[in-house]
Amino acid sequence: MNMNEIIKITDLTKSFGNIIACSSITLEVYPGEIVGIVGESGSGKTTLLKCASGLYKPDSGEVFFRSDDNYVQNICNISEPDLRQLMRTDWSFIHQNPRDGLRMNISAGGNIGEKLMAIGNRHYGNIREAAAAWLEKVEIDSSRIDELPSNFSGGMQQRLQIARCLITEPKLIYMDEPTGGLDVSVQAKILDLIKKLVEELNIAAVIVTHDLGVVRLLADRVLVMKDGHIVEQGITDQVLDDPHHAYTQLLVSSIIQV
Amino acid sequence: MIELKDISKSFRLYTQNSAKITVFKDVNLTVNRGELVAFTGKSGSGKTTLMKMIYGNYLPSKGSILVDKTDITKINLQDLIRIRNHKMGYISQFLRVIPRVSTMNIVSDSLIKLGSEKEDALAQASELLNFLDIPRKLWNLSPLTFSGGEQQRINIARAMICNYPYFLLDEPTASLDNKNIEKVITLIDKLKKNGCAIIGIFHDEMIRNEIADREIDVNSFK
Repeated sequence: MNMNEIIKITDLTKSFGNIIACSSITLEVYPGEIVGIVGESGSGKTTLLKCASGLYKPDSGEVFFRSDDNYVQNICNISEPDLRQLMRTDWSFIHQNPRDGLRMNISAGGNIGEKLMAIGNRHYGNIREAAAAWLEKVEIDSSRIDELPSNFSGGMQQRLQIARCLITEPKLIYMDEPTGGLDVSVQAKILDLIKKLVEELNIAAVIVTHDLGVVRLLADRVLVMKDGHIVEQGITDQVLDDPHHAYTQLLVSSIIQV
Repeated sequence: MIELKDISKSFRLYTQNSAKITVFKDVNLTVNRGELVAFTGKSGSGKTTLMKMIYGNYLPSKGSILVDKTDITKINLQDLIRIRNHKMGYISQFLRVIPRVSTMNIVSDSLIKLGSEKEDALAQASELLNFLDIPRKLWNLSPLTFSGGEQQRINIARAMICNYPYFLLDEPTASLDNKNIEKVITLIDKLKKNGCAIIGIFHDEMIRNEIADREIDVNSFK
């Protein structure tokens, strides 16, 4: 199977009991682009992200992922070891709650370094050096490399999770409200970091967020979800400046000006 | 060449009793390479709306917009993004950037994104910032704290550093002093000589007289 997309989701549906979280979602993501997903709480954004990244199994539909060598796999029905391999090497998932993405009982440096070890790095000195450099990139003082994440504030834990997810330079980054708990000065730094990585490495990112300001600065295009459906999509500035769906209009007109 | 064919645009405002506002009906317009067409008309007459449709920012309700014979209203989003990145520069009055990114990086990144070597991009950015009279000591700072006129010039620099064949200019000189307006006019003249097709909105009649090849009152499209 040939495809240009890095990920291609077709007709994906996922329910929890009688609640339909995602209904017939179709989405393609290409290398080099950042796709934003916005919508109210409970609209199915996180469920979509988790189905796309193999964390949930959809009730129906397919999720095709293309690796570097153009090998395409349907991650809804691949073996557990193959899925784990992809999760280690090909994509990262930045969780809304940093505790879901960190190992709380190992050091900050260990949290970052073990990702490098998982893809085959063995030289302890190099791994520690790379971990320290990434701590600085997310504005955590590298002298705190041996501390446990529980010593860190919520915002610092989130930055640690981001460093852990980006150090291996995955082909695809899934982000679930990655900047929610960050103060705005750090948020700006992280947005710049993500944008640069995507441009320089020609990777892709999918970001779920409530913050339309973040979407405008970061995303090339945006999808608006409501009640498990994509109600509108387009180039980011088009959707935000000329929204056509009633819900998107409400969303955009509710932004508080600063 | 940019061609608008039978373009109509109306807005439906669902949050305001589903009011329908029709802005344009059956607009036909051609802008050739090497010419600057200025949109005129009072505030609220739809100059920016028309320009934003050409950039794919507003969707027309009807009709087609051809950029080099490609109908941008009918292509997929990736192709539209590609056309924007490689062919069309859009300069608004307002600078929108990620906070804390330096002026130098903002201006040079436009070229790096198109595949230029970093060193070359930095050199060109320096030259342009110099020309636009941005003091060297500001280059490593984020422009968000700069004066309105400085921000506007950085907005111009980050777009004009790329040799796009098409430019859309929405009041790019609104908060500039006369000396800087002359410099921007020099840059625009250079673009025209290079065969660039430009659509511009300029409130200042003097500027229009100096650089516009044609003026179009958008009220004629109602």
